[in-house]
Amino acid sequence: MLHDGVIIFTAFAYLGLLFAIAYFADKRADAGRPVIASPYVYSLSLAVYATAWTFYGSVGRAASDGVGFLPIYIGPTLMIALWWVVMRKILRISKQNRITSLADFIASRYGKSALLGGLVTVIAVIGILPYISLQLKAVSNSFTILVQYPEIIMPTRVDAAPMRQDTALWVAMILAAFTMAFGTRHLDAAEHHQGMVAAIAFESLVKLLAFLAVGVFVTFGIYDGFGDLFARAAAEPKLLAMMTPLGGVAGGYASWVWLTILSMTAIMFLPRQFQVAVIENVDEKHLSKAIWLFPLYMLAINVFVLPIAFGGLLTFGDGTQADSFILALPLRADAGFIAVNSTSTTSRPFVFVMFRYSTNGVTVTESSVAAQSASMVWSMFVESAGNLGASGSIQSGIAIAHNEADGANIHFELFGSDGKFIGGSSNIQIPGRWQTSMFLNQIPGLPPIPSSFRGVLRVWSDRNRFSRPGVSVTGLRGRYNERGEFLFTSTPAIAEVFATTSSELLFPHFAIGGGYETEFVLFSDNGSSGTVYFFDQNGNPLSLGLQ
Amino acid sequence: MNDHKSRSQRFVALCLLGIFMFNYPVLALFNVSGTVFGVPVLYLYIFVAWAALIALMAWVAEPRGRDRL
Repeated sequence: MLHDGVIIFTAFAYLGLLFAIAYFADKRADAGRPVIASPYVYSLSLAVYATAWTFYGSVGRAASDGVGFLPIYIGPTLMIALWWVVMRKILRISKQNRITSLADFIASRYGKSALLGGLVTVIAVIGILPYISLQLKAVSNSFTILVQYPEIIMPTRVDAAPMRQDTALWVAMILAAFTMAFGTRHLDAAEHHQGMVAAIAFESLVKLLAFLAVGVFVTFGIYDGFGDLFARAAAEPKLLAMMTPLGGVAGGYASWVWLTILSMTAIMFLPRQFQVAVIENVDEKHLSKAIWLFPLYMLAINVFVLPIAFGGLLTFGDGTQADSFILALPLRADAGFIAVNSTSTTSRPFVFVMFRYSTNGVTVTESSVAAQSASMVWSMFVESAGNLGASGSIQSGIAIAHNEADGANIHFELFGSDGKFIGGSSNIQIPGRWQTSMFLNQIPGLPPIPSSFRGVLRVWSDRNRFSRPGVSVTGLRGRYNERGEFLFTSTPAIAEVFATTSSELLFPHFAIGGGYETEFVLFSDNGSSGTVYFFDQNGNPLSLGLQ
Repeated sequence: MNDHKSRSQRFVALCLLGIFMFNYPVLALFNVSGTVFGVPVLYLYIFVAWAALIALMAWVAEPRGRDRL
């Protein structure tokens, strides 16, 4: 969907903006008009508590135990209620003694022990390492997801994109450069790092807006508000259980309390927290605003966590990639099938859909899918060449739709180009009203497909129950061209045995969003009426923006 | 500075209130299935209680009228 170049350019533009803000703030400070002398900037800088990992970790946790993640933010709120008593004292002591770090503070409290100061520093450095690596992982993950995401609308994403250069390394180097330029460059330890604080405050604003934007999009864009989202989630027993997680999946009240206590200490003793709250504080009076603004910030950034987690679980079905819901949800596309019911069997309208795929605003491919009656047995030509994602690689896919209320059994058989039987899957149970699309190498139960293969794929549905109308099938064929763009076309699937006559026509596959667009064409020579239904992959009616 | 002292006391009271609100057994009262305004009870309770606590903290923290810092 997005080109690497666009992502890299945006990332660098953003980093450039942060550098510019820091530089500007430093200049203003030198000129004697500090920008950080504001309770609002101070409050926002405290939000360094919510790191890059907040985006992934909170949603990931919420997707496994509902509100179980909230103590991480409620704990600090409780602690901050005591800031009026505790923090003012710390601020005064630190100002008097020109304290420069948490280690310095603790050492000075115990008779200026250099040994203790060193010990605290070493503990902090060791403790912070996994933390930093988590942050870098968050950043490089984001990059990978954005680069790879929905080129292919298939249920399990093919890990096709070649291993990129290690983004984490580059990010670490840029961050180090930032620290040198705006952190350690100042020799006077008592001086405030105005540029750094200004950049942190700006980032906090961006974090909040980004989180809210995704939350609003998921809650009100994909779903019809909180009520709709939670009602749908409540229909799933697993998600319903997550709405009353305490004493259950969240590990009971004990883990809730411990997480609260842990977070209460974190807000006081995380080195970065001490840095922004104490060392970079320019005026004790800022506390009276920060005491409620910062908790308010934490509340706001968490309002949509559970809706995003539930939306993700509803959309993607399971929580295996829950950490990346916040990125994956807005990028996701709808896929499903369309059923056309005509009132008469003799004058069916002629119908087909065209769908096209664009990337970076350029339409790179377009294809049509013809309507199919359901059938018991289908066969289609399949081909596989190279690793999908590499230039010139080809992989056949299949889209199957089943528009019966009852479930069915399907199974696959694969034949070589010489007609020799290669292997077959066991019976796969499919639910009623269902659609899927997958690549040849994703079909469960088939033997491994050689990297260069041409042959015939056969799909059987309920072969012992010929009274059933069966399924509709279409072939899809994806190819990466020499510019790395994903092209596809539909390929015909031939119905070997027709089921009992049904006036219903099915389009086994359509896709909307994530660069996909589908056009629905319907014409008739002698006038006929009927109904068109749109279903998602689970057979739920889809409400789409029709034009 | 009598005002400072009473403000400190109020903050300690708010902290205790928060610990009370976000702990067993009060949480258990709301750990029930069902929704209010379409939102699960527990989720709604936590956010409403949290927002109320923050509002009280703002009320106590902000210097008002005569009792400025």
